[in-house]
Amino acid sequence: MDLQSIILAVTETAQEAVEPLKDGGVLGTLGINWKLFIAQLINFGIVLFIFWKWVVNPLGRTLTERQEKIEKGLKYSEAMEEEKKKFDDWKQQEMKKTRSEADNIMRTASDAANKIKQETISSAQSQANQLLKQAKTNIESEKVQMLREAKEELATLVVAASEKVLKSKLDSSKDKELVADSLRNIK
Amino acid sequence: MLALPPLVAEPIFQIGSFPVTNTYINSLVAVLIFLVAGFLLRKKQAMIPRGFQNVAEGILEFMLGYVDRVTGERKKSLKFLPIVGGLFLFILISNWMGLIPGTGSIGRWLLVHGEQELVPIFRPANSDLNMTLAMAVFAVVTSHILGIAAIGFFKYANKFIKLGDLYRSLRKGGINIMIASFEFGVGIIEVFSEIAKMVSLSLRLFGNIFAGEVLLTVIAGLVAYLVPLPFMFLELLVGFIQAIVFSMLTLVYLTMATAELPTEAHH
Repeated sequence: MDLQSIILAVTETAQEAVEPLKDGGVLGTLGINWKLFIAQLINFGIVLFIFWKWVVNPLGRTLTERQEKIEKGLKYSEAMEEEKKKFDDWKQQEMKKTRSEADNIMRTASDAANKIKQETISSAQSQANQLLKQAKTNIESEKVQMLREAKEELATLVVAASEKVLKSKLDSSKDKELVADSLRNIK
Repeated sequence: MLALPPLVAEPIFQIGSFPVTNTYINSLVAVLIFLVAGFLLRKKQAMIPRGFQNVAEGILEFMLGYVDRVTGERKKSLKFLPIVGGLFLFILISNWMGLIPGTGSIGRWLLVHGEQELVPIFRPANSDLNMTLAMAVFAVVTSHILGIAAIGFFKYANKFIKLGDLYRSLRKGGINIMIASFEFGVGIIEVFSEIAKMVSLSLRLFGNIFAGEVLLTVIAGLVAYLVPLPFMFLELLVGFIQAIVFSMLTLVYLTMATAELPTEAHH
């Protein structure tokens, strides 16, 4: 196959193409045939219908639905995150509050306990002091009383002894006896 | 003798008076591919996509991103995507199907112009002007229908036949009448530009794909091995680019048609 034959073929094709021009006009040359035109239009119409009804419509719906779903999901997760952050903040604050409250309570409690302890101690001390003082005064007064009583008894004893001595003639044995007697009495 | 693909798609057989051409067979195969894909995707869709659904969703999202950039709002994009995406995928699949081995080489021996010739059973659907014109007419007509639906018939008609603007200018008088007359003329040109849209859309796609077929045939005729590979790669690229161009232009037409005209600017 050389160039010459190609040129020949092209020329022949061109001649063939021009031939129907004599009877069919430009449209005939280009092969326009209304039956074929309609048939091709119908074919194309079928393609469009299939594409529109079976592809674009359902797929478009799916795409839109999916987009909505994803958007909703994203929004939801964002909201959840915000909520979580809020909750965390609230938790943190609450924890801080609780902790400070607990600290306060502890402090007041320990303060109160200290105070009570102090008070108890001081009151116990004062009570003890009082008791001691009272005991001392009691002892003192008892002592005084006892002394007084002893003195009185001694005096009566002395008086009695003197009376005895005076009644009976005193001798050494009697004296000894008397002394022992007196001593026994004192005891 | 090298047989270049003729400009007109060849009929393989007739059903009644309807000629079943090789391009029509290819477009039927493309429809079948869509049917199978659509049937697979029609079934219950998982919230967590896998396999084919994943691929389809990826393609859809990719296209939706591009459409968003032109329309500027998701609602409009979702409305236009079936049209624009369908156009893009259909053109892309048809174009790339033309590169599958067997397209252009498997055929029937038929009598053409008094000669026995091997007529290929498969030929890229877009190398037939009937197909591209059908899509172009559909795209432009749909843009008008959606335009009327979006902004109302009279407002939409005022884009082309600016009687409303002319009437308003008469009440204002002076220079406004002259401006409105000029714009009335521009509106008439717009009507022709709508026809030009269809012609340019259909001929661009047809020309590119047909030229690709001829180019591949010629290169394969010169050297059978390895040399056609870069050209085939080029055709892959052309098929993709033309699909983008066709669908993007359609998208622009749709967006423009449904946009409100800033009529206040005239006042």
